[in-house]
Parts: sequence; structure tokens; C-alpha cells
Amino acid sequence: MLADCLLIIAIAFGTALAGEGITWLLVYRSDQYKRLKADMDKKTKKLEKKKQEVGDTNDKNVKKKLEREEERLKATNRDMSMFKMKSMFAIGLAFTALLSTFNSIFEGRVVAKLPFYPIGFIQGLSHRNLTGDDMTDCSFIFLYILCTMTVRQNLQKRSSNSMVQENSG
Amino acid sequence: MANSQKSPKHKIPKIQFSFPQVLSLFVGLIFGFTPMTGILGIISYVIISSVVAQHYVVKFQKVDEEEVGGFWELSKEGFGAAFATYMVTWITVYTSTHA
Repeated sequence: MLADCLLIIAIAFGTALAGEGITWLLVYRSDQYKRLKADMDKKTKKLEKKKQEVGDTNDKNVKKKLEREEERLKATNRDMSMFKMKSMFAIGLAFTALLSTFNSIFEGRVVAKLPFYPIGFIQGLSHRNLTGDDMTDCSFIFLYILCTMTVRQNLQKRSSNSMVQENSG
Repeated sequence: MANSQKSPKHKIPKIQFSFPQVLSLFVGLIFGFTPMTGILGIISYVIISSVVAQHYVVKFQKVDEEEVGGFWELSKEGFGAAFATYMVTWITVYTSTHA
């Protein structure tokens, strides 16, 4: 049982790492994303500067100009989100297929023993594809989701921190 | 200037993300070995993680609690990832020692 547990942790770690790697290759490293990001940073700075210069003014022309700038910024943001979304969607599909493969490998196998009795809706996940009435038996999918949660969020935090450091450094 | 413009929430991640992770790992190990079971294991973790992380940030990192948005903001930050870390460690250790 412990071997299965460790194997699932390794699988989650591997897939999360691969996911982040592919995202970096397809999104963050691409010229289009870099261009959009630079454009966005430039526009944000410009808008902030203008807002500071103008302060609380009642001039309609100035307000209109600011609104136009904000619209441009929103449009760039939208483009960036769309670009990211396309790649993320493709990656999501690939990993869903991978997940179903692993799911079928571990089908019907108790991979761990839960130290608690899961409540109603969690039982659907923790006891998925398992026979027997012992609800403390844990299925692959439950442990995999937990592992992915911890690994992915840690990876994303580390990568975003390093990106911030790169930008500020 | 750039820092002063940031909202309090922006200051939290750098200060408090790694610590709850390490704490969760540690608590998960202890509860798994002991073994602490049932809802008590989950409630105890929630209490320990919020109180200890809070204490760590305020006392050791000398951060003003109000400046980063108060007790709840500090407790909420990175809770999902830390809780998942705790669960994985707790389940794995419990499985290896008591199953």
C-alpha cells in the first residue's frame, strides 16, 4: 500500500512538473506572450503615471483620455488571457487523458488507508471504483487530487516568485 | 514607491507561504505516527496551523498583523496548498505505520 502511495505522489509530482514545463514552453517563453506582457507593463505604468499627474480633476477631456487608456489596457489584458487560455486548454486536455489512463491502472485498488471517516460527498471521491464497505479505504483519484493540489500550488508559487525576482532584479 | 502602492494582500505571499508548508509536513508526520485520527486530526491541524503561523509571522518576522490584513488574511493565505500537504503527509504516514 505504501508503495502505491509513494508512486502516486511521484506521478502527481511528475505530471505537475511536466504541466508547468509545457506551460512555460508554450506560453511564458513564447515571443507573443513576452510582447504582450511588456506591452501590458508599459501601459500600466503609463496609466498610473497619468493618473498621478492628473489627480482629482473634473476636466472631461482628461477623463475621456484616461478611460481610453484603460480600455486599451483591458484589451491587452484580454489578448494575454486568450493566448494563455488556448495553451492551458490544450494542456488540460492532455492531462485529463493521462489521468484517465492512471485511473484505469489503479482501478479497484486500495492505495492508502484514511485516518478519518470521510463525509458524504467526499466518499464519492475517496471510495471511487473500490469494492467493500470500509470507507477509510482510499482510491487513487483522491490521493492524486491532494498530491496535485500541493505540488502544483507550490510549483506555481515558486515559479511566480522567481519571475517576480527576475523582473525586479 | 512601488511597494507603498501595493495592497496589504500583496505583502503576504512572500512572507507566508513556505512556513505553513513546512509546518503542515511536520504536523502531518506527527499526527500520522501518533496516530491522530478522525475529525479531531483535521480540527487540530486547522487550529495549530493558524495559531503557529500567525505567531511566527508576528513574533519572528516582525510583521504588523494589521498591515497584512489581519488574522483571517494571514490564516487564509496558502491554506489550500498547506492543507493538501498536511493531508498527503498524514495519510501516507498513517498508511505506512498503521495500515
